[in-house]
Amino acid sequence: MKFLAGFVIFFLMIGLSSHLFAGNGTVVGTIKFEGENPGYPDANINKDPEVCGTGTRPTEKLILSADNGIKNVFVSIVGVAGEKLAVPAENPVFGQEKCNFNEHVMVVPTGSTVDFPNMVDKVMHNLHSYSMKNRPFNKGVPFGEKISMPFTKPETVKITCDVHKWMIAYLIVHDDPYYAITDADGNFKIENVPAGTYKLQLWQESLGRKKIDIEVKDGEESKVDFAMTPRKRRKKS
Amino acid sequence: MILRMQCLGCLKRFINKKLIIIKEYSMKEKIKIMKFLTVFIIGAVICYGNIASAKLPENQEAITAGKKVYTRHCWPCHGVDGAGDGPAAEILEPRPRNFVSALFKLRTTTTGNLPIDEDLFKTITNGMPGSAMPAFGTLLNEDERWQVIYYIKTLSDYFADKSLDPYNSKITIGSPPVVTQDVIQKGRTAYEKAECFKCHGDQGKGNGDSASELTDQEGYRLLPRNLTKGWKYRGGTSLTDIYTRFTTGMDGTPMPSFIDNLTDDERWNLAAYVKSLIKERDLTGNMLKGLKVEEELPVDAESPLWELAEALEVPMAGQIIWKPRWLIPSVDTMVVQCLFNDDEIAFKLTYDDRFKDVEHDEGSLLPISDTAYPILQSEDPEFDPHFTLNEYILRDSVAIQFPQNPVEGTEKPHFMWGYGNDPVYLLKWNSDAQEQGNNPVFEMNAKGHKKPPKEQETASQAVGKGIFTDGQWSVVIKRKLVTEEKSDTQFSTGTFIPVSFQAWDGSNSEIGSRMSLSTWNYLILEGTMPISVYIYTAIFVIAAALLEWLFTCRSKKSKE
Ligand code: HEC
Ligand code: HEC
Repeated sequence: MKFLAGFVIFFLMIGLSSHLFAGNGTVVGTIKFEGENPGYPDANINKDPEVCGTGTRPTEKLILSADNGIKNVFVSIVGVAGEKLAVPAENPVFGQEKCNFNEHVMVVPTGSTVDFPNMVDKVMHNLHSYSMKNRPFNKGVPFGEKISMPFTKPETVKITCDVHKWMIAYLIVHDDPYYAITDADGNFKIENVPAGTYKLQLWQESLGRKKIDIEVKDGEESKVDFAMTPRKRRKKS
Repeated sequence: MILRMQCLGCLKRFINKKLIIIKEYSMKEKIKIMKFLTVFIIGAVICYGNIASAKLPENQEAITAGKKVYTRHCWPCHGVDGAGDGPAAEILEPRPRNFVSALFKLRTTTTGNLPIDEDLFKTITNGMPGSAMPAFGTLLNEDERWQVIYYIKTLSDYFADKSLDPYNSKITIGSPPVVTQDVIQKGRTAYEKAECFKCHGDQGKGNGDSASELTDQEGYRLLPRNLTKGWKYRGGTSLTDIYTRFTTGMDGTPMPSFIDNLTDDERWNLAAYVKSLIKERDLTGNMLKGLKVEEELPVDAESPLWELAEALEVPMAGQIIWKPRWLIPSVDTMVVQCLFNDDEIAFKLTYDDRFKDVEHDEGSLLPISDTAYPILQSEDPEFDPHFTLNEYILRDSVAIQFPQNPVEGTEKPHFMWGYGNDPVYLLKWNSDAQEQGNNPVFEMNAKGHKKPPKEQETASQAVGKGIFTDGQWSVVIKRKLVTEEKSDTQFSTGTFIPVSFQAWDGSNSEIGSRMSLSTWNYLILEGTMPISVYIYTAIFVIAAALLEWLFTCRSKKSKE
């Protein structure tokens, strides 16, 4: 037992020191919303009441805290020459319950095969992906069945179910560990970033993409607070 | 049959000539575009080519030749760069395929993969029934079809990506089973297991719970197929075609692939079940024969008396003669019957309509624009499943139209609400009035398309009732044979009375001249009929056919 503990501490120290020597920093911050709230309507839960329930559900298109912190912003540092995410030994699982995806924004390492089980809801869900780099799919998955799909290229993939229109989630296929998803107050923290100057990229499903210049300093915490604004609506020609 | 189809083509030609509403193009270009459309619609209607065996080699020469074919035949719809945004695209639903994003409906490859060349060949040869995509089986020879395929493939990066070679993702298609009642029954079980009814409805009418909210990849409304309408299947109605569609899914649409979660046997059974839902339709007739009965005429569409009356199936088309035109009509076929006794006459109209719309509030509707997409269209360019519904609710209605005054010979008022001195009389049933417990049948008159039909000042003497069951309206409209009112049509036995039909599907945004309508048919009330009537009938039918034929030829000539 002691031996084991020593072993763990030893490796922790190695881990720590290697990071210290490489000159790593941390990026923290808060992403807030600024401007007029587009006021996305609540989702109307009007299908399969025995399984999905009834009434309305707050939309996840833009979730704001009391002081306008944005939840579920995907924050990533672009082009870090550092670690890569390994393809997990076990397939990441992307499930749903009561006609709601378990996670609204989920990150999987590039090259993963993701399992989409339908083991809880006693209804068919058709899992329909929208993507450009990974080939999209649209498969009917009755209760008790499962599909597994590969994601080979980094990209944000939208997953929906056409039968239950309110079911929307995003699977972010990503290469490296230098990312975070903001919490309910809009806070994020990315640790162990090799020192250097980078672009910090923000992505939120309704507000789009934004890039910010940042500098990460050895052993320091860089603070990045940013306000995202509503996207200008492209005019339909 | 062919004749009738040719005539439909003719009508479309005629209509297309008038359909010049694309502003950014010069007159000459517009005419060119319309010429394209016209020739192709005829092609789509009358041609059905064969599938080739010998494939042309894919090389630069073929691609160059293919580009010529494309610029001759395809760009008005599919766009110069193949992005599905040609000048005609705005007025089409579904919209032409975007070859750049390369999501194809008709494939023999697994979901999300590109079609193989042979899939494209089949599509281009047979067209996509129920859409504007014409059949090129006779317009282009086989070499030209291969060439244009090779050219289309250069429009998208996906085809160039070797890792996406569609030949690696082909599904294996076995041979179809012998269809028995047992197979169909098992297919029904699979239909329930896979919950196809969620979109397609219990009886395949395209009216499932989730049907009204579906969209295509770009956020445009897309309704699930009414599986009973064989003539709307994009990819054919053979067992193998149907099996392939739900095995691979239809990319770019909500129609999923069921390859993983239904066994091969289940899928063949299901194909047999789906095929068993397809109803044959016979559009050759134009004579509605009223049946004389002794009983009181039923207002109830479910009365057994209706089973005795002969049925006429009437083709309906979008109103595209006058603005605002309507290119995406909901009702495309209607079955009509007629009963009468010594005192009254009753009509029963039966037609598919996915959704029951019984409320009416025109709200901020006007002015109605001429574009084809007033309905469910997402605001968000990145596909927003929360629709911005227009702020109005429209009812379902249906109308029967007659010339107001007795007609002489073949003279008839215009079938779109008559002319100034050739007025029409309409019996119109409104679902909202019925819902509110009022008399739902209105007597109206019209003197031309410019002013919508006007309700008569005296209270309506006609009555009626509509019954909605699983994606179908059955509406009965009943009236006295003879009335006092001067602007009513009077019915008598032994004469041919022109009759036509009009329908409005509220949830399809149909109101006013945005509607489906038929051309004139003939109503004949057979009392104790003199033999001469039968002779006249024969002469009449022949004369009408001859006229149609002449019209076809003439307009063909005038085109060339
Ligand atoms: C009158 C307009 C029109 C013309 C002309 C036309 N198309 Fe199309 N085409 C369409 C429409 C509309 C669709 C989409 C139909 C649908 O989605 O149901 C389509 C779809 C297609 C598809 C997609 C099939 C699939 O599996 O999704 C192909 C391939 C195609 N067209 C090829 C051609 C070629 C090649 C030409 C010229 C030789 C051509 N089209 C000319 C309107 C047209
Ligand atoms: C999520 C909704 C949805 C579900 C579930 C669904 N469909 Fe469909 N289906 C559609 C839509 C939408 C279309 C029309 C696609 C188009 O042409 O644009 C369609 C089209 C079709 C067609 C027409 C093919 C053609 O050639 O035009 C068939 C056949 C069909 N579906 C069968 C099925 C069967 C069988 C099932 C169950 C195993 C099923 N569908 C489940 C939405 C659905």
